[in-house]
Amino acid sequence: MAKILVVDDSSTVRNEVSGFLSSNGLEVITANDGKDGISKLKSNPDIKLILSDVNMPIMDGLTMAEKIRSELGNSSVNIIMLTTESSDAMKNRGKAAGVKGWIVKPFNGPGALPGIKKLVGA
Amino acid sequence: MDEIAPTVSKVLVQDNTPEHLDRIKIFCNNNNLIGVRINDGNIMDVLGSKVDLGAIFLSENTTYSKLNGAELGYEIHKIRPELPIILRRDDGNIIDNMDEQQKSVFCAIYDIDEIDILKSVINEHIFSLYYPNALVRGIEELTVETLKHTFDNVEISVSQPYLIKDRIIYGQLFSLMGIESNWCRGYMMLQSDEDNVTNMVKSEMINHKDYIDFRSINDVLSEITNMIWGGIKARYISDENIEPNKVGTQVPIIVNHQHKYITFGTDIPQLCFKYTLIRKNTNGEGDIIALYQKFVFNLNWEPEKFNENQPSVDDLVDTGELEFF
Repeated sequence: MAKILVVDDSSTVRNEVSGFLSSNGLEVITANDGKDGISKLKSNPDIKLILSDVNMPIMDGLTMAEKIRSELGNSSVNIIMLTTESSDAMKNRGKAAGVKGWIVKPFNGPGALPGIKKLVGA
Repeated sequence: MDEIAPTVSKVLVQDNTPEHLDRIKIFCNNNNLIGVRINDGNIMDVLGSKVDLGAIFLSENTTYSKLNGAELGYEIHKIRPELPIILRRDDGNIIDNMDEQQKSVFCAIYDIDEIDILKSVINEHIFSLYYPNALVRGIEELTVETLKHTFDNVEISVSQPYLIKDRIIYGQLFSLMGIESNWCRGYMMLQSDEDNVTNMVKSEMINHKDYIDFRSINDVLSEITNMIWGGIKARYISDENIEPNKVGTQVPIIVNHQHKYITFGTDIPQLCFKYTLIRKNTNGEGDIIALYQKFVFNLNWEPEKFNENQPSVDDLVDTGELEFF
């Protein structure tokens, strides 16, 4: 079963997204912020996809993505941002950090699911 | 620049003279004021309730608990100094004996035959900021969309946007989010009652039915705030960097829990919206949430620089759907 890491400081979003993905046959673990996300990725190297918020305390999602690529040297895990941010500047920063896709909140599970499954090979 | 948004403001009116009340009512109708008449004896009760006010109209010879209109004005000023108080002259016996310090409690003293001079007074004290129509309309739309996404099976109604001078906080739940741009700097607040939100979350949020405590209710309000803020950024705040002279300034925000009171260090009016959520199919007896949304642009307000972002067709991606890079 493909493993997905959902990173968001909001338990409302973590519950919503992880509940939807789990009900669609995907294994989900969660993290509360970017630093926690890096920690979970280190302890779960089989994670195929990270679905992360941008604006979070401790460490934001784009900084997390940049660190995953540079400091962890992990270029294989797919990263998608799930955020209220929709500006080109933010998206360009995401692209530079190796982010594969962008979802503007609110989360539309059925609309996003085909792309997510494609990325994790499910 | 488009025409001024049809914002209104609620004012309390305590005046015992029927013909003068009619004149005041006409003045209110002609000047975007919602006059709320209060009966003798309950003005302090009304002030203690959750009424969001723009000003208070009193008359010289009105009476309240042995106080005349001027004395009542002093008492109100003691507890709500942020509220403009307007005093109507009757025979002048009281007003003419007031010294300048006593008169300073009132932002205007007028004769009923000259009530139109109050136009400039309310423009100065209540309608002192211009809010672009597109912004007011957009805030409503974004907020309703967010609430519909958050709660299934609810009907949402929105009051006419209004301006308040009050600094009273409604309810027990309260979120505060900074808004920063080259044309505005300030805060958005959302305020509501915990019990009603809890009931709505239990019944209408599928992912929150198992276990709910106040922290999860806080989190729901937080995410609602976050999504509205994101929508405002996307629609009204461009990608350009904020000019250096637009950042850095801050003032302390004071919250007094004892008096359910917040101040942003300024007396400018707040732009307010009231959203009422009711569960569908309950014959009007379903859970009701009143959600108050208030904006205060206390650090910068330059609406002449306001511009609504117009994304190109190529840029359009539905919210919630995955856009691959």
